[in-house]
Amino acid sequence: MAIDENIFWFPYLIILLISFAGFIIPFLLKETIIFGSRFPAQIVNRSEVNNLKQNYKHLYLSVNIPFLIALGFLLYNFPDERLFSAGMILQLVLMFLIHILFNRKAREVKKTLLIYSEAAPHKQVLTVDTKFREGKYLVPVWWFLPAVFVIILNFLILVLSYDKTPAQIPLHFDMLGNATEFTVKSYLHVLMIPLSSSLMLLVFVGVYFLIKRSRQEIDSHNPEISVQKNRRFRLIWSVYLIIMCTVLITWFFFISLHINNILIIPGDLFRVMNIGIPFMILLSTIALAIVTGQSGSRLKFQQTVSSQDADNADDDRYWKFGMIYYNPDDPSFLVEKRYGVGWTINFGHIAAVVMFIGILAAITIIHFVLKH
Amino acid sequence: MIIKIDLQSETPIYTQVVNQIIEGIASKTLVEGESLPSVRQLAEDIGINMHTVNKAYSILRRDGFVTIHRRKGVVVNEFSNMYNSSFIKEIPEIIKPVIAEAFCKGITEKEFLNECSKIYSTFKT
Repeated sequence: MAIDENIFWFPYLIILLISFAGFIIPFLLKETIIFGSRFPAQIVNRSEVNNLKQNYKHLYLSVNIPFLIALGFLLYNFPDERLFSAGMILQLVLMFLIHILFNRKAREVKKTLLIYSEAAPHKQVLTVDTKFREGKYLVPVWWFLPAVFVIILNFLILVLSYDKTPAQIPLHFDMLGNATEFTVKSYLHVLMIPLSSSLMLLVFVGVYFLIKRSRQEIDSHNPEISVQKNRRFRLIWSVYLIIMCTVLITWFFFISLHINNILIIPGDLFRVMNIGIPFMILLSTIALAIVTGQSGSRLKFQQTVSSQDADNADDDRYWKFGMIYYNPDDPSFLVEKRYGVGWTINFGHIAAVVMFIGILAAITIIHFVLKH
Repeated sequence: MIIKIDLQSETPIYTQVVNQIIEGIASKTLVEGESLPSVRQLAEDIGINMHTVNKAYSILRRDGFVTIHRRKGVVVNEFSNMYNSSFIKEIPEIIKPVIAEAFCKGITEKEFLNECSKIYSTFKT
């Protein structure tokens, strides 16, 4: 499918942004996490570690810049949706491979540094604050109410004006929001957007509660500051999560009114909305990740208590490639990412994996049911 | 209160949790009526089996340090619940190995008692 010539740059811009996000990830991690490997506080500032970071920058840029130039050239000459998808997948694969490579290198560097380290190793301690979830921790769950209200309104409007909606309903859209496939009207098809919004809301609320419960990640070397950073990080991201959920649901609300001919949005505005919203979400997510860093590592707090002679226990063995958490002995569902900003599931937790697959299956089934 | 668990220690994790919570109560870092995380929450925060945390909380409840409410969760008791004058009879058995080790390592009775009173005084204030 061809992409409109006027906006061929837009999908390309998204790939550029993803490439940029991939580049900065290792610099947003906690001080003691080097390329997804947990380092004792004593060796994080060693020159070997800095060299590794320099090597990473060189390698990442020398692979990504030629790739992006070539892709830009191709997309300019052959603006095609499949080329865009292929470019996106290739970009993600490249990022993944570079990150795996540097995770392995970091583990090797750690091993050598520890063998030749003269300083006595710190005790490996796990730190837990019993008051971690008290006070201003996450925004209250009723912040989701506006989104619930929009969904209810969406159902009401669509059901009440069902007779007036056209007999043919668009089913699939290209990146500009132009309808490319149509289907005969039914309640299921008219209500597909608020139905998917409801499912999405459920997922968001679920994620909210899982974040609330997810393990506190406290740096044993600097517990007091680490608690503050981690709590503020969760507060900020819970606000962002709910705002993002509300924006998405409102966006879908307007799309559903548009495609059912209830509220006609002018073509230009419709395009701007459909390009602008995903773009703003991507951009604001990256910006917020830069501001907070993983676990709030980039937030500034005044140090009042001196650092301890303690490190967190080395848990690299549970992080496959430094990215995938697999620990069957851990009752946690969702844990903070090791190599990125945000949370990831524990692939060693059966219920977590079942739910993860369940959500993917639900999305696939909805897609399938709507098509047939 | 901040709990620190040494994963390489020979002391079992549940004992470390019990000891630190009792210390927290003695030093008034944990006060009467204060809630502690639920069994599930603490297990997830430490990344260990729920049975381990359950064991720790059961010991604390048995000895009167906490009450486990169905609604309010785990709550620190008032001191009167913890009073147990017959505990003095258990003390010799508990500290005998420590005193024996101290004796062998050349620590005098006075030095030993001095260390004891230092710790005791941190709890009194």
